[in-house]
Amino acid sequence: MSAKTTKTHAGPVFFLLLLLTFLNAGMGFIDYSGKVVIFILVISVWVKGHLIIDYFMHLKNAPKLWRRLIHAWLFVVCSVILGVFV
Amino acid sequence: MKSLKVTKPEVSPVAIKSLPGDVAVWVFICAELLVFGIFFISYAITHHYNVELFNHFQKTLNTQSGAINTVILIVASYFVVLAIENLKMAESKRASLWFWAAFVMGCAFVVNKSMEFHEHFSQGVRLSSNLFYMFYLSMTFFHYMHVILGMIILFVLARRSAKGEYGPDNLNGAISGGAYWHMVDLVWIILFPLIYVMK
Repeated sequence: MSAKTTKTHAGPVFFLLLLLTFLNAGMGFIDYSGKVVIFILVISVWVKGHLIIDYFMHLKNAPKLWRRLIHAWLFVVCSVILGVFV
Repeated sequence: MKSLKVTKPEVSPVAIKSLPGDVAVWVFICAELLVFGIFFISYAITHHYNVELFNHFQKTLNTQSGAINTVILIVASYFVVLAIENLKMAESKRASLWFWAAFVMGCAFVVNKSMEFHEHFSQGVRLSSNLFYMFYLSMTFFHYMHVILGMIILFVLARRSAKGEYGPDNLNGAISGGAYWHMVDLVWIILFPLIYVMK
């Protein structure tokens, strides 16, 4: 099941990751700083990390402890960055 | 006489949650993530107290190069996913090609990042130049070393897949190596906006 599910999701996940990367890079090029920009950047990073952890690292169907551990790392890092920059 | 009927417990394979790859590799990945996490948080806090300095020297970075490297790593990660999927379907030769493709993307990252480092060093930028460059050089170089280690792993996976050493029943090594590469990607997707974009 997991193999089939991953195979089905890998393509769309890949394109979503590319789309969010272009969004991040675009914000770098417009050279605009503001709370809204930081918020969008951190949220997009969090979504990208979430996708990589669940679908590329195959942790979606892994034991809860491991999945939560990696997701918790992502959440803490993103939260601190958001808290400090905004 | 009554006969005992022994039946296997009906457990759906879906219900069994197992860690993909080797536990030792995941412990290693967690340790690596912890170190990078400390780097990220330290950078963010130091930035908070030195906003003008960080924003001024951030402008000297090549955002385009950083964005290209992000795309390179995401594409490489996708190739690794495709390699693992092919191994699950017992297509080890095709899996080897995907691993080689990911390896080539890794080379592209290293070349691009080396050019960026060369540009900075030729302008006299050093670790001791200022706080921003201290963080920029140490974090990106630390990540750069991880990319090189990831490439060595991809090289081994590609060669072993070509020899047919991995298959649907023997995926642990390939999945563990793949997980390491995805960790390298995961770290960069935070590192790029944090250092190159956020002001």
